[in-house]
Amino acid sequence: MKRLEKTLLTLLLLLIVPATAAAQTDSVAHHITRLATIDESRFSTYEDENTYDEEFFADGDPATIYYPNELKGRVPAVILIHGFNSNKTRMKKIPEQLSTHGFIVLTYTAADQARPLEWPPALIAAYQILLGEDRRTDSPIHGHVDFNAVALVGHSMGGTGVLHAAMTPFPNGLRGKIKTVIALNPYNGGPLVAEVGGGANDALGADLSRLTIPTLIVTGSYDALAYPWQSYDFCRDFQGPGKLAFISIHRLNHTDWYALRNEPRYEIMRAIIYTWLMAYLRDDDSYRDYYVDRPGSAFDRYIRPYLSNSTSRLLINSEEFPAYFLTD
Amino acid sequence: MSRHLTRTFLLLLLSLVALTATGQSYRVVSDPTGGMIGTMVPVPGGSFVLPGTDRPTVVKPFLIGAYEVTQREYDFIMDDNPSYFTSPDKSCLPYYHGQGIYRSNTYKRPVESITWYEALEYCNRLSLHDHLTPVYTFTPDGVTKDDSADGYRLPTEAEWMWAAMAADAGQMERKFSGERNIAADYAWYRNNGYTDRNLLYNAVDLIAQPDYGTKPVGTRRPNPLGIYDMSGNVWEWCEDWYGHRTSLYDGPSTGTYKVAKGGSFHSPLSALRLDYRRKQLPDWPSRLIGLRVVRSLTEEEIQQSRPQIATP
Repeated sequence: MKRLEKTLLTLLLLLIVPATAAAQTDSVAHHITRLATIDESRFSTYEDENTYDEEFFADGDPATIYYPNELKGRVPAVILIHGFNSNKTRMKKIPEQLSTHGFIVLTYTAADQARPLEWPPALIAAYQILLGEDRRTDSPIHGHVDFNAVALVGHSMGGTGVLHAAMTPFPNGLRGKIKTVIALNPYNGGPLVAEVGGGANDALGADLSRLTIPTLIVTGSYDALAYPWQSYDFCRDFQGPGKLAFISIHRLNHTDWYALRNEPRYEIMRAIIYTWLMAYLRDDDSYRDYYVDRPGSAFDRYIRPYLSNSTSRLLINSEEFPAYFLTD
Repeated sequence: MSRHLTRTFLLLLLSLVALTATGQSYRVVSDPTGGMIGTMVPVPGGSFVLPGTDRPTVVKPFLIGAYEVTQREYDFIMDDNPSYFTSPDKSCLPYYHGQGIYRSNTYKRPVESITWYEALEYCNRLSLHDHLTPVYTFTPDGVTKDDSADGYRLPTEAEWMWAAMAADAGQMERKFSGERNIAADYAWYRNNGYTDRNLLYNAVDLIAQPDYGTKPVGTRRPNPLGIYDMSGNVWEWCEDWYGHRTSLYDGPSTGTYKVAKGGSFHSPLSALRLDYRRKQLPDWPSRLIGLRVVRSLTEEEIQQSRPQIATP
């Protein structure tokens, strides 16, 4: 009889533990989904000759500006740029999500996409468009850009470009005008095929020792184009005093998160971008907990479960890099 | 023998007379070091319909710089050279340990990286240097212009276009300022700025082609009026505000951006079109934008210069 009771209890426990774990996972996933929400009724977009730069934007393709429908006062703004051989529409869910949550976002297709060093001049041109649209009296965002809260977000070579543009003073960058910077899968060299096409980032390098603003670098443990350990090299010389976060998303590849139909891990990517911008662009202290490595913190509960440094078997000769690295 | 000598002498004399009649050039800067000396070309008056307007805009005769203002000229007048493409330039790439790239003949290259306000200040100081009356007055509310002053100034967009089309309204649709249909003969722009840009995709970048950037002025063919680099090399600041074009001589009365014309070494061919214009914030310098000066002619000068600059 006692044996039967014990067996029943064990069975019950076996049922309860996975159910609780599943509930927790659901809760984490639900939380991330909520952070990554896009609500098309809450933002608008525009693009016209006023948002075009014939030197640095793709031929005849003006920048698109996303803005919240209810604009009151000045709000933080983001300049978002894609990577090599891409365009502004590939990652459009990022500006859609950010403008859903109150940010103004400018995104454009770069005319020059061959080398990381070609990105900063175009980012300077994009900043001028933002400045001009804020000043132009008949612009939808006239008087609404908070120039004390402008962020750069870039992917791949664009990620390398934003890091350097944020660090380097005018006329080669926007140092002093940028409050925080996010590099997604930043390219710092990769496999031979990538380096034949895009060089090895020799011209700009990975030395970010003069970058003083809060900086987020997001990579993927399966990134076969911008190797995660080479993206981690951007962190080695970082001296602050701004916060630095390096995050490697489990099984994330270079472009699969937005390029594949099922968009694997796109939500966690968007949630990370959003929480970082809330914390370090909008200065909402409650979001800083998403980047504090402490048991029970928002980082511990919602971000860390998605991270790893387990590389794909296809990445031969992979090198060491952490799943995450956060400065205080 | 003596007849041959006489003929040669007469030919030489004729050449000199012809030069005096057609090649009238106006000094911009007398440079004591004997380097570049800017010249000005007379542009006849006329009228044409600006794109987007329904009435002809009348352009009075004026003088225009045959070249974009060079770094040397700007430095001589302003005692400062803010240009990006100096030597060493201001690229300061980590690849070169933060040092700039050394470039040749930078004093002959156009000045750039100046704001619209700095361009106006240059015009005023150049006027004083040449004993002319400055055109612009800087006030806390902006800039006012004295239309009766005889000093140097920026061209209006209408003047710039009129000079670029060689005072021929039929040239409005041209893709660049020049006679024949080969843009590379007349302009430094994206396609020949990099001499062998990206043939194999990987062959060229800014490091492999350190000379990519502005070029010494006057190294392409001039347009039929003898004006160089109207298309390409650097954009040229104009006086006008950027907005809906009007048939007024000097464009809209207010705006956010100023107009720049002509395209740069980094421009696609489409930006070299004579009716194309770039917008630029007046307080935001760019390594792609420089200037060219013009000067209104007094009635007396117009009379003296007829028929060279007579209104058709």
